[in-house]
Amino acid sequence: MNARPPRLARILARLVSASDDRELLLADLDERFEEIVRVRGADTARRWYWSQALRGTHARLRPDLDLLSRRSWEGTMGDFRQSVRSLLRHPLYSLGVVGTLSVGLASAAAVGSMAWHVWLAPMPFPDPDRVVRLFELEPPPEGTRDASAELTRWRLSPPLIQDLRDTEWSTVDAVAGVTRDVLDWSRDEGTSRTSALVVSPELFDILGIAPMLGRALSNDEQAGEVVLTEPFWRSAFGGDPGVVMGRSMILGGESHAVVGVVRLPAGYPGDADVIVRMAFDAEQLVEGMRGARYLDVLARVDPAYDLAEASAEMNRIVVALGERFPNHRGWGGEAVRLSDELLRPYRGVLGLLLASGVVFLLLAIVNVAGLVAARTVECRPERAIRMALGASERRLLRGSSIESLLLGAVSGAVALFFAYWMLGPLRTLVPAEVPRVEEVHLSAGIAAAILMLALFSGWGVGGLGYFLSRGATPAIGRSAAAASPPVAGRSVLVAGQVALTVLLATTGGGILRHMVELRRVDMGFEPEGVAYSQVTLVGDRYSTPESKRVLWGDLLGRLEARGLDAAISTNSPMAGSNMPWGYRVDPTSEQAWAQYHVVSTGYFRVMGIELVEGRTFTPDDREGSEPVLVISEVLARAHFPGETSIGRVIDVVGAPKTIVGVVRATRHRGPEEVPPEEFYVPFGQDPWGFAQVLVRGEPAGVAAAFAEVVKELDPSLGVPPLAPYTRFVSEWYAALRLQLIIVGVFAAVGTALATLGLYSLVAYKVNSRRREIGVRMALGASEVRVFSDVVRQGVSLAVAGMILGFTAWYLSLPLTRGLLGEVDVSDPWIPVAVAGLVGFVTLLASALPARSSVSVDPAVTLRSN
Amino acid sequence: MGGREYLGEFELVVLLALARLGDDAYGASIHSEILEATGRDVSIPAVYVTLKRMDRKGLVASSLGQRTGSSGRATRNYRLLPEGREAMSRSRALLEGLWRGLDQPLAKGVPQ
Repeated sequence: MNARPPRLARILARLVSASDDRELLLADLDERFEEIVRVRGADTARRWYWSQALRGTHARLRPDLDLLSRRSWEGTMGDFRQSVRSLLRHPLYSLGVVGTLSVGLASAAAVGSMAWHVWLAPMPFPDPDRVVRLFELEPPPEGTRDASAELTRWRLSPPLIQDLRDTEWSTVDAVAGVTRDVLDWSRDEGTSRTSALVVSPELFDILGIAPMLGRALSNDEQAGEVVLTEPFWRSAFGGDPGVVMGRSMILGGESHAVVGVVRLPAGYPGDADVIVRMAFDAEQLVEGMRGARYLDVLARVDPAYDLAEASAEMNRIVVALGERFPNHRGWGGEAVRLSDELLRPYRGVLGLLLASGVVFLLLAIVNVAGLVAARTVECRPERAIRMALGASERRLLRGSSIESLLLGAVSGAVALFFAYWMLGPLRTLVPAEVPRVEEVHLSAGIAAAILMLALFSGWGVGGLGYFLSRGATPAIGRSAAAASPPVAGRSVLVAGQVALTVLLATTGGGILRHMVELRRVDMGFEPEGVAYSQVTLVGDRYSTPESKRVLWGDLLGRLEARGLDAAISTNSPMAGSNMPWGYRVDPTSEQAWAQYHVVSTGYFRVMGIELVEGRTFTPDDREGSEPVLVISEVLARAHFPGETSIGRVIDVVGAPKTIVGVVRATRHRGPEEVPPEEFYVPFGQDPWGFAQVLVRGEPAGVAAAFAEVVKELDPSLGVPPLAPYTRFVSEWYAALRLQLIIVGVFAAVGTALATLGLYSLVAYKVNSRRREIGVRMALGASEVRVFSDVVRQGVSLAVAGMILGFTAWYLSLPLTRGLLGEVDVSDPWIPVAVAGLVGFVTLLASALPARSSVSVDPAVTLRSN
Repeated sequence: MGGREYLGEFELVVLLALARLGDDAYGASIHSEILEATGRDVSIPAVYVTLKRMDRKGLVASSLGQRTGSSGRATRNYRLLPEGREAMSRSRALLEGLWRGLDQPLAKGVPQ
């Protein structure tokens, strides 16, 4: 129905049509296209459109092609052959141009693909700008009423979602909650696990997910329904279209009728097998649950309103709820565009990436221009001879254009080859959480753009070289003077490149230092040598607290019997969970929040969390004994400064518990986080249905024993194999590592380009001053004198560049902090090291051509001129 | 101007389509006419280029028009001029003259 002509073909058709009738022609093409869509389908019509555009290009170019083939085809082929020969005769020059240009183009292609697919391409929802996420905003802590302080955004709790869905919004059309779960799918063959999206039915409308088969979830709260995702439908049901007619699945012990199959949009909400309805029972809607902020909430803004109005309404609703419920008191609300929200953590990196790609392409072009200019001087005698033999200006121009187009084409091809192979590794460097990163590939559009750019820059740079060489006849003894304007320009460019290299290297050094420092931060626990797995108890067998207690005890007992040091926990640091539970130190005080952990007795030992005071849990802390609590030193310091907290009773979600121990604080969200307040409860007194199992030992060594234990215990549990706990920490570093790699790679490429630029400039100058040097040496100037003269010129350029670079770095410090987070890049040793490195490299780049200048026999030099 | 020239094959095809269509001929309708009558999917940009050339030669005249119906968009409508008709007749006479007497041998196959 809504098939549209292929965009690229349409652009082509537009380009090649005559300007006066362009719109009419396009309208004619569209009219026929629509008819062909109607009669023969969209695919045929699209192919038809492409053939029209390509044949149109041919029709338009034919007169020119005819002319070319009739009058000058042979001449062109002759020039082509001559260009190839000439380029092969100067392999260093050709390699230099192709190498430099293709590095620049490949980085542009890779970066362009990344930026396009992750950032610039619109999200695959209808009207993506109107899809928003709703947040609750935490009030700033007492005493720090700084209006500019950024408020912490929180997800929403079940009762709040219920309220929002019951609210008569004016700015928002639909509100939907989204969360994930793992559901057991029971069938005759046995039980397997499915990853489920648990959503409000409105989500389908908000994200514009149209079922491929059947329908979306209905609004009927009682109906047990499930929608399958396409990959799961294919793998589990063999893509059977009859699945939506009367099939049902037993998920989490309840029967769900299969009502539809959908394809999930890329980017959000991520992969899943099945989609089921989000429903809350009365227990989840009590006042106490208002603090359980763990659900994503999406909404679609009404077209009559804008984002700011929706955000304001969300805020009003939360503020109004604050009047009635203490959990919302002082809190606000906010609506944020979903695409912004998904990309927020990566925007800085992506911006950096994009900017570097552009800068490097420009640098490459500038350097190639330098190489071309140097060669032009060399070619002047040849040019003069050819003109003297009767070659026309036009003929020379054509020869030079063919040569530069050839270089551009080869560079473009090499660049695409590089970019194609680079994107794979580059994609693995990008944290997997970056939305749509799996879609990044070298698309036809970007490849075409890069090839065009290659031809264009090759042609442009070649044309520049041609015009530089045109003005001057090979006047003997005047070459240095004649070449002075390009030299002045190139000096500035080389200095600019040195400056950029310095800027990148110092910034990269700053990030590296920051990373090293973060690695030294005491996380409060010791992830090294711990393996983990996740166990979830599902099904009727584990419906009572007692059955859970028995299973956890059994699991730990069997692991111990095999000599493994094991523990379980519901909320391990860095593992991605977040369980802020409300507590009161005394009944009159304000409610505060701390991270709630339910742990087994061995937890502190296995995780290496030090005991500061009192005791940890023992097997005697069980159901029926005194409810006990271990708190972190952060919580102890906050409420019991200068006194012992042991023996104090605090109220945790309505239940009084006695503090028996104080342990070191752990960081839950990374080394940059201020350690949160924490408390721990023994598993015996609050057995949960899920936990991380933590085992001391390398996964390889303990995996088999662990798998056996799980099998003995309950084979239907489907426990994933053990993985090293250090994974969570290294994942945290992924984004930082990515920034470092990008900046590092670009600093290296920049250094290479700047070195090459400096080298070719100095070499060029030496070349054009050959006669002058010869004269000086014939008059008795020492080799050392001449050598140091040449080197001084290169070094003074490098020094100017460094001064510029360090100034730019200093000025950009606030900006860098904005892009990379609170990174301290002002370590004085970094600039010193960078200056040393860049100085050494540039010295080398000027010393090599300087050496060649003094190695020349003055007599030979003078005679040749 | 081009009174003495003979038409190219594609020019003739376009002029024939124009003659069949009458005064309501424009790019898309010419394309569809040729497709229906001959099964040949010609290129619309080529039709444009050809019409423009014949416009310059004085074989056809063009004017900006408006499409009737729901779209109501602008079109460039072409009309056959007497010179165009004359050129068509000339081409036809030429071709018919050349074809005369060739029917029999062709039925057996074209002689090399």
